[in-house]
Amino acid sequence: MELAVRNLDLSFIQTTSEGHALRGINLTVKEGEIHALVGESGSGKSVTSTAIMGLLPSPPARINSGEIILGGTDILSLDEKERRTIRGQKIAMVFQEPSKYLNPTLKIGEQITEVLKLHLGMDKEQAENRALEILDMVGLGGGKRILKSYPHELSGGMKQRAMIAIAISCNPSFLIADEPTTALDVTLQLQILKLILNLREKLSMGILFISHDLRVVHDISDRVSVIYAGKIVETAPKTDLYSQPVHPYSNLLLQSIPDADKRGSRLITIAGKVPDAENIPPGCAFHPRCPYAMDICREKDPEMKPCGENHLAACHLTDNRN
Amino acid sequence: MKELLQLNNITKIFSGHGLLRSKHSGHRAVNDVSFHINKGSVFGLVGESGCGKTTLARSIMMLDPPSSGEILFEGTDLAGLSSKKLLPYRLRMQIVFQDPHSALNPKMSIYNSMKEGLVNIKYPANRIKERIQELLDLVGITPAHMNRFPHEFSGGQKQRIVIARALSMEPEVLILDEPVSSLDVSIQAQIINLLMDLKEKLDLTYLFISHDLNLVAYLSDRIGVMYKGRIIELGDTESIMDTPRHPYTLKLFSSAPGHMEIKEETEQKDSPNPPAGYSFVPPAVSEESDFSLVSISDSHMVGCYKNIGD
Amino acid sequence: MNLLLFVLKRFLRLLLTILIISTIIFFVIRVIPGDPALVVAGIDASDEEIQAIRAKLGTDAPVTVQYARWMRDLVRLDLGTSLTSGQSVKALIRQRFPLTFTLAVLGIILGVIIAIPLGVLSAVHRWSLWDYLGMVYSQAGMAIPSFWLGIILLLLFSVKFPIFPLFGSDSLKNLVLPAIALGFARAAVILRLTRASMVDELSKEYIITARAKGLTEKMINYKHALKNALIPVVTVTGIQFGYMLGGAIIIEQVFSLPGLGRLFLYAIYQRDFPLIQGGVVFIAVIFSLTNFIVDIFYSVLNPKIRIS
Repeated sequence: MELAVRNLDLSFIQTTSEGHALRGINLTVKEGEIHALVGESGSGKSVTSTAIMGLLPSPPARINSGEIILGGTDILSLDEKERRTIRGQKIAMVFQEPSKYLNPTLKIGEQITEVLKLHLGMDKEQAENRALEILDMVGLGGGKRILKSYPHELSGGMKQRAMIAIAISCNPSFLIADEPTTALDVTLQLQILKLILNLREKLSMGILFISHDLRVVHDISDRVSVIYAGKIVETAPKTDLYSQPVHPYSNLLLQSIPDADKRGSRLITIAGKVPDAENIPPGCAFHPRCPYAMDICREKDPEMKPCGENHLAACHLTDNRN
Repeated sequence: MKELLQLNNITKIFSGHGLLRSKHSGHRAVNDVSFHINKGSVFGLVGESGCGKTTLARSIMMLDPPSSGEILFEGTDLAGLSSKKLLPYRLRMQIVFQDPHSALNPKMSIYNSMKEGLVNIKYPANRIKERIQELLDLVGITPAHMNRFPHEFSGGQKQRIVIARALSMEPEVLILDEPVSSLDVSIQAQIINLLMDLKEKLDLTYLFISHDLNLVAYLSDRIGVMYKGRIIELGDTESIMDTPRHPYTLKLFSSAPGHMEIKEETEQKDSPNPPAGYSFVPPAVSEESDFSLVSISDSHMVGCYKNIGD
Repeated sequence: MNLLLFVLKRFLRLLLTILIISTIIFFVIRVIPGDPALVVAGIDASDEEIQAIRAKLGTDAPVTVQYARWMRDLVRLDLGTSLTSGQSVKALIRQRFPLTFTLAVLGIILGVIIAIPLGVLSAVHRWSLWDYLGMVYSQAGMAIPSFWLGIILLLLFSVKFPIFPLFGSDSLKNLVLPAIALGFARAAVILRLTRASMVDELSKEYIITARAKGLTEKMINYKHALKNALIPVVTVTGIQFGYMLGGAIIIEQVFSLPGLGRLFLYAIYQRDFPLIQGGVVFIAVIFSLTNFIVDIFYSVLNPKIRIS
């Protein structure tokens, strides 16, 4: 099922200030596609995913405008009860630190089967059989023993597999993976990335893959969107983004990654830091850090414009090119 | 180049706690590690979590003295010194940890945080303020902000302050334990450049610890790959990057993200052969002493087990 | 580690604790200046009389011998003989303990019945009426001394509206008011902790997972959060129970109940050394035993604790 976020605008209302966390997010994840949302901390990538899940507490969060369309329905227009039946069943989520995101005192089996019982109305036996199938699918053989284990009895990699098992238990059509490998060692990271690719094939889910790591994103995604200060500044098929990034932010991010090939030369850096949601600079939000900033960048926020096949970027520099 | 730091057979055993602990039941967090760091160079220690790299760093700093082995700092064995004699050596080595947020006392201004150390080393009181301003300027923090508190700075700025504080002891060696891992991508590069500039300016020697092979390869002159408490490959960065020999090093290479499409084939890369007469897997009956680092070139060693009968 | 091994380990620790406590008590009583025999015998007693009392107390022997005897008697569960009544300390405790124990059990049940539901509701519906009620209660519970509450309860419900009897200790009805007086303040402590612990659990990451699974609020609160939130509450409740056993002294005084508290108070007035010594050991053992039981409960609730 395709998921489309249309012009999502969201603020966090505090007593003394208002943080403009999302400033018109547009994002489409096609069925079976892995779409990476890349950004630094505070860029709004996790707010986007939490908003799609419908898990942002309101207040302080306030949706100013926009739609989130899943299979033709705007899920923002549904009531809480309807949203709940979508969560875990049609849209599922995998989190960054499995050791924190699993309930420490419930057996893994219970944490999987409770979803099956609730959403699919299975009885205990059916649910346990299904749980064993899923555990097998995520590479946790010997499922019976795992079902009876507590999270702390599993290794880090196994916990993340169990987390994924919970997420895919109801065969969701859409999966959000929020930095699912950031807390893992590189060798485990590779295994989990492979598992996610594998599951995408098997279940033909659309996956929104959230990450700060352009190298991981390179290995897993079909399409990449770069988010900065609550706005998507560039979106392109993966190969295009890595070979010909258009937005200076994407370009600089790619160049700042240390690598053996860059030995002996200074790394390219981006001066300054990501702005707070309370203090978004006027014009293009990136202009204070941008080495190519022009007068117009300080005044006018650029719109997303096509600059290649399926490739859009929000930068005034693209105007000059044409 | 001169060897500034030489580690000989460092072993750190953590024994269990309780009344009935046994010396033999301990966990060997660091197992017979030897290498040297030349003055003015960067030694990169790479390994995954739990491999013992942080324990080793703490042992070198004598925060957790090693269970056995020598830490030679310009030829003096630190492990054999009394705590009084150790102090001057301790100041010549400083450590920067991963998380700058917990490294700074939230209730102390930056000025006071940095003053503490300077007072400790009996720095002339009338010059302390000037010195702090100088240090902050050196790491790219506006000296006028020295009366601010940690929460007023971003993660990257905090890490700069932590580095400034470490430098206030005028160390010759900086041990950097994952100093950029908790920072944003765009900030990481800033801190790495800063560290490389400081090294040139102040003639520092680094022990750079990280799980990130690409990062270590970018800035190190020599690399040690650590696995389960042991150094399993050691050598010049070029040599290790071009011809990795140990299967685990190879695994780290193939797992490092960003270089290739993930395909099943990547795992089928032909595994390298161990040096003649040696094996990468321990023999069925093995003694600790069977494992050793074997030279495969002037500047490259690989850890393996001696074949029985040889 | 399996549960049985864990229980065994904790049991050994319990025995060790009791050994240490009884040793400390033995020496503390001997360090206190003054010869107990002199105190017991009075100013006018002759040397022979004092010597006789010393022999009776056993204080004429060297300390090492006394300690060996004390330990031997303890193993035999013999706490000696009361000087004033001539009965064995064990028998006296056995007579008085059931009342105090019943009182403490009633007090803790009452406390838990009020505190845990109110604490949970306060945490789940923060800033609601429940929460304000909980806050008022916990403030009052901490501020009002239990003896004062006891007196007020007596005046109200035994004197003004004679619903409960003023004296006596033979029926459960006699214990209602003292149990309320005893449980009221303790409930405040448990309430505060339950609320704080529940609020803490509800802000943890696994709750986000539970929401992302589409679970109902009920399941999130009562299946996921509550069990984890109760882990520290169980420990504190156990400790509170221990306090109640010791702290019943004042309440027993207010309600004229012949419990352990009054027995020991009497022993102190009368300088009945064997009874004081035996009483302190008994309370200490009960306290350790409570902790032991709490530890077992804790490990059942929290599977993680069994590893370490």
